[in-house]
Amino acid sequence: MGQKVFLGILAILILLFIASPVFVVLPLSFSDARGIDFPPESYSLRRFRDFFGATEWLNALWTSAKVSFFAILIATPLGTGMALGLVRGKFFGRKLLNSFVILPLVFPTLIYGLALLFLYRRIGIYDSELGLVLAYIVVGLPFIVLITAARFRSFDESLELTAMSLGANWWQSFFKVTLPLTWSGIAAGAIVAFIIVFDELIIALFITRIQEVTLPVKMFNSLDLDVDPLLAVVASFLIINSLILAGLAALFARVRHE
Amino acid sequence: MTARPLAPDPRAATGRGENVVFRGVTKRFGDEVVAVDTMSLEIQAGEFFTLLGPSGSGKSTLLNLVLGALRPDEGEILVGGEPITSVPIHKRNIGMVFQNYALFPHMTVFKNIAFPLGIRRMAKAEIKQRVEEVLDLVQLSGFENRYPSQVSGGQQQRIATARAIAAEPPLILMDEPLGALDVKLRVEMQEQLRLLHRSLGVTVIYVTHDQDEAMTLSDRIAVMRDGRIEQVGTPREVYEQPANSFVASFLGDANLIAARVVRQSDDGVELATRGEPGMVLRVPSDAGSMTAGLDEDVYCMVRPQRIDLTSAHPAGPGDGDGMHNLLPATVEAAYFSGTEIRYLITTDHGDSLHAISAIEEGREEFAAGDGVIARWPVEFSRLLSS
Amino acid sequence: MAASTAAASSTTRRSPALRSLTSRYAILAWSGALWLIVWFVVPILWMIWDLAASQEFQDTLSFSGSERTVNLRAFRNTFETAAIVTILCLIAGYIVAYFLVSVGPRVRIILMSLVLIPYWVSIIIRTYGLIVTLGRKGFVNETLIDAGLIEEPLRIMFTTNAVYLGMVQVLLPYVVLTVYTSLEAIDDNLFTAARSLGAGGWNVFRKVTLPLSLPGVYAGGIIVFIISLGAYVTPALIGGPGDIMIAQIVWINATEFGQFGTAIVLVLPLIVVTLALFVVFNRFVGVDRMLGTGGTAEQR
Repeated sequence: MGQKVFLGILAILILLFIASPVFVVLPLSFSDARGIDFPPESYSLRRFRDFFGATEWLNALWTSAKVSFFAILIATPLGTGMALGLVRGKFFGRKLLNSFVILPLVFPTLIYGLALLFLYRRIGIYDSELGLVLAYIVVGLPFIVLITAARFRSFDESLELTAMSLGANWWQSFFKVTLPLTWSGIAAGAIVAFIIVFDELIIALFITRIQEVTLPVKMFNSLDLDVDPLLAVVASFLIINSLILAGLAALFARVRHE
Repeated sequence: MTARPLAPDPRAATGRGENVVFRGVTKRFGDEVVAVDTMSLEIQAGEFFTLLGPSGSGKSTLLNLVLGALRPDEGEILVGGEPITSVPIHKRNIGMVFQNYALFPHMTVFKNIAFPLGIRRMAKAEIKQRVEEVLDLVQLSGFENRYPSQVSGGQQQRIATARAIAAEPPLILMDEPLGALDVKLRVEMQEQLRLLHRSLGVTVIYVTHDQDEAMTLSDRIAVMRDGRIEQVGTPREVYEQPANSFVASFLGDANLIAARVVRQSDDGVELATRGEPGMVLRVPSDAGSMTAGLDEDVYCMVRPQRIDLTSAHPAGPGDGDGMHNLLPATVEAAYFSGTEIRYLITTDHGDSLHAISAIEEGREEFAAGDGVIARWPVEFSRLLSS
Repeated sequence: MAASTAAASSTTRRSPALRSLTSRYAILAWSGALWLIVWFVVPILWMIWDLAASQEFQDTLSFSGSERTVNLRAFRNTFETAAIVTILCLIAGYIVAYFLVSVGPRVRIILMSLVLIPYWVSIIIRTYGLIVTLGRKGFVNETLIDAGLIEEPLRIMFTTNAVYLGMVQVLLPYVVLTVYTSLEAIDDNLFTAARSLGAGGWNVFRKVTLPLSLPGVYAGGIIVFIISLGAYVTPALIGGPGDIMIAQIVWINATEFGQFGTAIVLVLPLIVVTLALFVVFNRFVGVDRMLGTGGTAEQR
């Protein structure tokens, strides 16, 4: 019994250690003081007001949102198609592709960022939104493939066969039967990929310089050089944003269409 | 094989169905598994044809080949004289009912049934009329706006059937469509399916592993094993004149008595059971799918329902009257099941046999340990290869 | 019908392998793969190919003196840090996962959210939170000084220990989730059976629980190790001056000095180790295992 209590206390301490940084940031964003002041001595919305007047931060936010959105817009159909092909198809190289699609996910972004820096300088898209979008399609794709593939795997193939036996061609069967019954899984995949891409730092550090600063890069620079009081606001904003999106993704992942 | 070609039920001959021909069809999975082995078969137009066999016998594979979910490695399948193996599924116009019904869960009953009609760009009013028609046919009028999850299993089955027939395909495939229903409902649905088939006149290929269902429903049955057809015939033919011991034991209970051919004549074959001295069994000469040579080891098959038990003492062991086969035996166990008693008996030569006798007034009943004579008419004996 | 039959018979004549390559699903799967090849594999291979032949590359390999020492130290530092972080994560993660499966469903949801929430929050924010908590004027120091326990603020940030702490903090959820998944998959009857056979608590753990949860341990360990090797953010933000890792040297060489060749030499061993671990992982643990096919949250 004593062992178990000890284990429990230890586990809870570790859990608090994992979670604390997130919860420390939120109250800080309401602090009235400049600089780090935790726990805050007085609270105000001053930092929030300042944030909405800070064009640099707003620009970075806008760049991140734009780049992530377009990357996911392209990665979603690409990844969904790939997942469908991997789950349903029986073709040469399927097993290989199954593992290959995970590779970008475990591969150090440091190396990928370096390779892109090298490539983009040569083809002239260094420090551009296009460059970021192209990179983030690769980053987001594995997540979309994995999550939608799980959904397709649990999807009853006889529904598709039935639709086709009733006269629907492959496209009709996909859009009238498969898609209406799996869209929530696809949405979950897209949202997860969006969160990942939106938070991505290392690749952006490599392939951008001045023109296109994403929010994570701006945050990193602010932490590296001197701590901007607005950082807490941005962080709070991002935490809430991520949690809402993650909650949404979890919700979609559980939707069953009956 | 003595199965004579059978004309489809005359009442069904409305000419809507199409015949299906398999020419040397083979389907392999990987290098090892031959799911369907050079199958040749003709299914008549308008016939209710059942593929019966244990799981893994290739019956579902065969159905999927007709549907188009699989492609044969060799051979050709013709529907109404046209080869279909290279026609994509959606152009085959074949109705399909899966065991899980595969109803579209996001569509109402109406939309499910209207699906094949909408795909065919039928006018709205026409679609409505046709959906009402088929719903009426399966006795589910008024269910249009329900979702599949809101109706019972039996109703789901009927909706799936209605959807399959909505576009009036000449051929309908059914893969264990009643397999998910409980016994009582299944019997009801069998009757409905039979009536539906008669009124539509379409060809139905039906897959099941349930021999009772196959016999109740079918015009003809193909008994399958290991990707091959063991026998094709009417339910009566495959039941009463099984081609071999597999068919005999797959369709109901069969007693197989090991014996040896001792004499052949015009009016029958005489067998001797194992042991010394062997008991003589007679088998009618036309009752074998095989021509047995003298001294050959064979089986004598008899259904348990045909065996009559009598007390050992009146007749005594002997050759009988020439019209019956007789075997002295001992009752091992008797099981009461309401309308009948099922006996497990052991003959004096060591064969275990089943006998089933209806409970009737004046009929003798036995208990374990009783000595009895198992007795059955010669005409119900079948000669099977061993 | 006749036309389609003619078209089809030409299809039938093609070899099965060729036909399977041109099927719709094969096209779908390969088009995604093609994208990855063009925008992921090719840039990496091109970079290696182009620079392996360059003078810079040769120079770095044959370099002697101070630069070589710095690089070698960074290598030792990186692998050492990755190993320590992995071990710490495995121990702490296992304790948490083990505790999670032992509590009731309600408590489990609350505790699980303590793992999942940070999991979804950017690593920069978490590092920032750590600075706020453990910095010179951070929450912990201020509290300890106020309580009179210490006179001077403890120096926690900008040390090697801070790097360990920061990385463990960021990577722990991976281990918790992978181990939790494999612990949860163990049939409860096994424990009952083991106990009925006379095994005590420790023996049940050693003979039943631990071996059955090893796939999760391996998966978590490999993920954490791979990510640690390429870690840049944590050491850069909260490491001490001695905590130079490969990532930082690569970064400086590539962006500040414009010396690609040097950057690539430094990155090559990382590529080799990562690919090797990926192959091992694929063979013994399975990709699905790592990412779980059920919940969304486990897929990061």
